[in-house]
Amino acid sequence: MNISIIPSLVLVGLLAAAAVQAGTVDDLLAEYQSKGVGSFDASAGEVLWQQRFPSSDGVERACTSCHTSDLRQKGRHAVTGKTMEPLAPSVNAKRFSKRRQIEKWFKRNCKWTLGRECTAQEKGDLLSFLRKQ
Amino acid sequence: MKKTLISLLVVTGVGISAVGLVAGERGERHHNEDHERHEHGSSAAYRSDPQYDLYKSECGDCHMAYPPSMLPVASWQGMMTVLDDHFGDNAELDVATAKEVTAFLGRNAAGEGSGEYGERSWRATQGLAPPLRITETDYFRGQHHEIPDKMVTGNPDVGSLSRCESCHREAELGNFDEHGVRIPGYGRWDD
Repeated sequence: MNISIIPSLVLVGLLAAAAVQAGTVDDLLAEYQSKGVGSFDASAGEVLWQQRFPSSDGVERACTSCHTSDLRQKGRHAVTGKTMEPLAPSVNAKRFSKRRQIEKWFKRNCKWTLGRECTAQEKGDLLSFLRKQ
Repeated sequence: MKKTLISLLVVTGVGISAVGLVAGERGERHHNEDHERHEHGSSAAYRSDPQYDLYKSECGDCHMAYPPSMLPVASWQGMMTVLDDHFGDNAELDVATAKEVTAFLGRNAAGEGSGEYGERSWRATQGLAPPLRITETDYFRGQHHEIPDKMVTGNPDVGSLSRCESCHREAELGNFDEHGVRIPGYGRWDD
């Protein structure tokens, strides 16, 4: 294969991944909006991301408990210690590309962190913040 | 002439014996390797299951994807019904995925023919209430009771016996051979 074509192919691949990501996130945001939410606010998402919530075991919980405060770095599961890949789509193109995964983790992690499911407004705000990282 | 012949015969004899010894050793080593491969293969059979990738992504994102043969089927079935409180964490799955994962765990659970660890775990849990945790089984305890706390709970690179892969470096491959154990900060474990 002509070597000069490889960078172009890589670029096409990255653009395609970004397009899938944008499509999935846009679709989900539209769906949340259809539930009666006016608009989404990335800065409100960031505040929620940092917010600490009380828990039954006495140790406050936040999204950053596992994902850390730098989304471009690897995270660490607060209980098991297992390493997790970075959440920022700028360094991990797989993030936010599958609707089922996004919904699965919102459900699990909102329940663990906040003690309840997140509302459509909260999920939209969080996605708006996270997609820009 | 006679002397030379004797020397030649002696040298040849030594040579033949040496070849025999080497061949014998090789034969034994081959046998051991075959034996290990057999045990390893059957203990790690769950990794060839068509739903292994699903299991690994759904369960293995938060903790090591433990070999299903470490618990009997009743333990897995019970666990899969309370994923909203999975040892204090929320691990809920949608109904269709949970069904597939439960089936995978069931057909690879501890039992006869489930490999070395599986059969031992299974025998150790016979007649008892299904254990909730792998680390609670008598078989597991028997294998780990000599390891001092300072190497596990007191070791920041381990923290808990549930983190198999911290010391069993090939745990994700289904290999828990004691000779492969390397405890962070302490090295090999030899009991």
